[in-house]
Amino acid sequence: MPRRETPEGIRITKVGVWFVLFTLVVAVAATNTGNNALYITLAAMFGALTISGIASRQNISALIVALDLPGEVFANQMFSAAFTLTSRRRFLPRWFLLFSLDGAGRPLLVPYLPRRGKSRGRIDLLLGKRGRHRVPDAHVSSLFPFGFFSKGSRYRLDAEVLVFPELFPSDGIHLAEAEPMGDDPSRRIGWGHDLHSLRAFRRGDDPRSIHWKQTARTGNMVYMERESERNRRLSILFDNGVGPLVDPLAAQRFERLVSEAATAAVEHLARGYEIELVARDGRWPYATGARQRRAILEALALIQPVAPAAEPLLASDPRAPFLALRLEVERAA
Amino acid sequence: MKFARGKRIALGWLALLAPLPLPWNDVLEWPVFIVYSTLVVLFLRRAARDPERWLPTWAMNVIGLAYLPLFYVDLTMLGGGRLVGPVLHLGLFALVVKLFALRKEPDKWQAVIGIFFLFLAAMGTSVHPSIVLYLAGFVAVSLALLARFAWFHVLGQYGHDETGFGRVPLGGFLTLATVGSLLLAVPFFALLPRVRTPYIVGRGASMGAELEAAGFTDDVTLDSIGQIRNSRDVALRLQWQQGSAPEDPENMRWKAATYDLFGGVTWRRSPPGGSLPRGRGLRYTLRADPPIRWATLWLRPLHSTSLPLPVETAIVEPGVLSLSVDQGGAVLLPHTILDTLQYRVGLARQPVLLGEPPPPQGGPTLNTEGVTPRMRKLATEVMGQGTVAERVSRLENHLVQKFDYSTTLLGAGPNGNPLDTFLFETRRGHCELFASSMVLLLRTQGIPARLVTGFLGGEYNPFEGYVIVRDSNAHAWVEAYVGPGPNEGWRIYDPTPPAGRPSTDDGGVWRLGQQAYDFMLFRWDRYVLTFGVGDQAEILRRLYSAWTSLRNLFAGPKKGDSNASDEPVAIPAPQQNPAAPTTASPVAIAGAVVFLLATLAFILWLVLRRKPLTPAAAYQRLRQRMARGGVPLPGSLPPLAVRQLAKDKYPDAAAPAARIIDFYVRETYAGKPLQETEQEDLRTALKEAEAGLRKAG
Repeated sequence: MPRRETPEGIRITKVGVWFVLFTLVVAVAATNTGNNALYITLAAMFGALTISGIASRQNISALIVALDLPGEVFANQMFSAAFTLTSRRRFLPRWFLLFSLDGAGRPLLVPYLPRRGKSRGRIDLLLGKRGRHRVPDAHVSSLFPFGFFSKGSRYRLDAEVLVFPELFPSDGIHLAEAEPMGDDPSRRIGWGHDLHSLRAFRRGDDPRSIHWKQTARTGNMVYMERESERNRRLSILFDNGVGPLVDPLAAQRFERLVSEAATAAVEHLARGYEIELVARDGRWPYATGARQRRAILEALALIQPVAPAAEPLLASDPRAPFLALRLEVERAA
Repeated sequence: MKFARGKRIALGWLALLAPLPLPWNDVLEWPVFIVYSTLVVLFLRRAARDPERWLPTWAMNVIGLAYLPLFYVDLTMLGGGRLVGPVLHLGLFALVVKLFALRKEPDKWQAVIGIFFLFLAAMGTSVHPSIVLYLAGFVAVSLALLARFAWFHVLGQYGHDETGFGRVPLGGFLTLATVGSLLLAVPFFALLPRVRTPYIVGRGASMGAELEAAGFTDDVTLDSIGQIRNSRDVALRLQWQQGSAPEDPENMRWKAATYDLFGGVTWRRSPPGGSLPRGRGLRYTLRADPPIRWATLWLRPLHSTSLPLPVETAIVEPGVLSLSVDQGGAVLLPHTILDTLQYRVGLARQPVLLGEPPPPQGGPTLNTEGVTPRMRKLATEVMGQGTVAERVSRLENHLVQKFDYSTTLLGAGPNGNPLDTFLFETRRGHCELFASSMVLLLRTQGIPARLVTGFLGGEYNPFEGYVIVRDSNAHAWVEAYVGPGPNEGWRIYDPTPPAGRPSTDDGGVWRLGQQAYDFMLFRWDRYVLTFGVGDQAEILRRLYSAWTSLRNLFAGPKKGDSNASDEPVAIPAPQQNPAAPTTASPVAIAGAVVFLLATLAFILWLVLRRKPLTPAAAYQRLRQRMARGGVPLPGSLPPLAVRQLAKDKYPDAAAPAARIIDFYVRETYAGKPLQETEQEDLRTALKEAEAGLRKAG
């Protein structure tokens, strides 16, 4: 879809300053002598400057910029966005284009874009905060044609991406806290990965589950019963009832807790757990799989502090382990 | 191809091209130019091989010092007191040495400056239309060089040192840009404000070398006209004005100067007879009768004060404040002209420019110096008896029929009298010998006579619609006083045989080509070299007039104008079209100076203003400083990793580096720009970080 561009200013380069100074020298010489040959030179220099101005503006205008952001974007984690530059010009190609986005580090160089041609590429982005992030504009700049000026154009994108909370490394210490909490009476036999118990092999058992080591040790066929993964549950009790956070340090700690909740959810979902997220302003019941992962990450991406409440947060399944996360805020009396 | 190689080759081509017009303009000697060009070609060959070793700076300085004595000799002895030649030699020498010492980026820009000033010198001393081709070539190569340098600069920022330039097709664009620049130069040239009279070097007919036009100064030798007869340059042009009857250009006679004092070899003219009375509008009237036709003339500088006019001229409007006439009726300007003079003349039916009758004793027109006895005897024999007019015609016919025309100067002979030798020994010569002999022979018979120089005939140029008179139309003839009667007075006689009279050779295609070339030269001189304030005013007037016509076209007739077409309309007289002297007014000069100073101040402000430090710039500087310390910093390393790296490797710089990176992350990723109050904090952080990095080595 064609987008209208907005000029973004002009910056004169060192070469441009020298050229303008040369032009001034010729202007003084021509005015002082009245020599029309010098006026011809001056006129040609003005002509070159004008051509430079027109060509540089033409070079960065009439483009169609399309941006394709990935589905999952985490805060403080580099990701690549695919972009397509399409030239709408019929006659002239483009040269030396520098493409950048708000949030991108270094501009990407597009050396040549043929007339009516397309250029596809990927640009690395890093977003620092969770939540809705707008990518309002793309920026295209160029030193073309002669390096006198650097001109830029802003193309409206209006793209939006939901940035999930930052994930910590998987060996985070907080995940261990989930294990000892509560008993685990609901462990049942199933087809998961973890060991449930060993027993004697019976006719009809799946020979793939024979525990060969124990069989060799005891001399009898020993069968390995696995734990049902559906029975592994974790409830994340995220208490966001902490009131408005004025102190930047407290806000920073709140963000860290959100990241911890997200990390725990992602890790456990990956291990087959059913995860429940309980917050003051919402409850996402036990579920597993990609859909639950996205639902919890979206919820955590948008979660904000709400008014404090006295009653504690409770998991739906009182027997399931839970991870309680609450920010202790010192409040003035 | 590496960047350095590509840049050297581009600079070499530009350096080769820059001084090309200088030897043609006689500003630079050909041997010097050839030596320079050879050295630049050697440089280009070396640059193509791209060796590692180039002239070190110290060697360049030693060579520069060694040139100083040569420069002194050039300035004091070889240069003949002129500064231009030695300075140009110095510039060429410095440029060649610099080319062989291109090591760093600033060296290349210094070479560009040197090339630019050579180009400026070449343009400033050129007057021939071919400089347009030179300019086009130079603009094309310069734009290619600039585009290439810009591309290298962009690639360099991305860590490339190979050009890959060939894969970016820029040829079409550069051609378009060159053509576009030159086309845009036309309106710029027309509208750039002029504050001084146009200045031209030389006559503009050749490549700037001055051509002396002998034959019209206060004294001339007997071969003066013969010298300029070999030149095909255009001396003057004539255009008949609307309503004037066309004239056969072959028989037009243009009187420039008359000479009455003969010194044996050289003719001199008597002091001018007086000033012509000036009428309204700088009009000078030579005869009261109304002229029958009008013409506009353009005269190229002849390096004399003579103003060539058709002999029938009754009125002249040359746009100068005074005119004088010599004793023979030829008109003189108050000063020699330096560029094309445009003037208007009104012509009578009969010749007018014949001067006053001679004094009773004849005065100088009866001076017989240089006459030998056998010349006197010849005159008596040839002229015989009859009226004065008949006798003069007999002598004219005798010379036309019995003598031959030759362009070769055969010398004064053993008796030291060139006219005696011509009449009795060689019997052939050029027009001045014929005319001079006839003058002296008439004087032996008591008939006042004088030598006249000027132009005879001309050719109609279909490209211009003008009659062109060339230097080769220069001619000498005789004016003889045949009596005081009503149909007598001074009469024109031409004793040169028809073969020796200037004529238009029928050269077919060659002649057409020459006429086209003349047309181009004339237009170039008129609309480029001598383009001035007057022309700009004319352009603006025409633009305004066109705008008014357009507006009237759409506005329709106004109320009350319906009867306007019934009114008789007075047809205006032909516009006087003098070459308007364009001198700078103090206000215009002051305005130009103020404009230039303001532009200079603006540029200096752009260059010198303290730019606010942005977090992105501070972050880039921090990265550069860290990279200098030997830590690998790939472009993809995110800022938080850089912060960690700074913490690990440079503990002294860790805290300020973290502050800079926080600012950068906040602005770039969170879209929160730096506040003005934080500007100083950022500067301090950068300073501290740099100090910490320096401390860490």
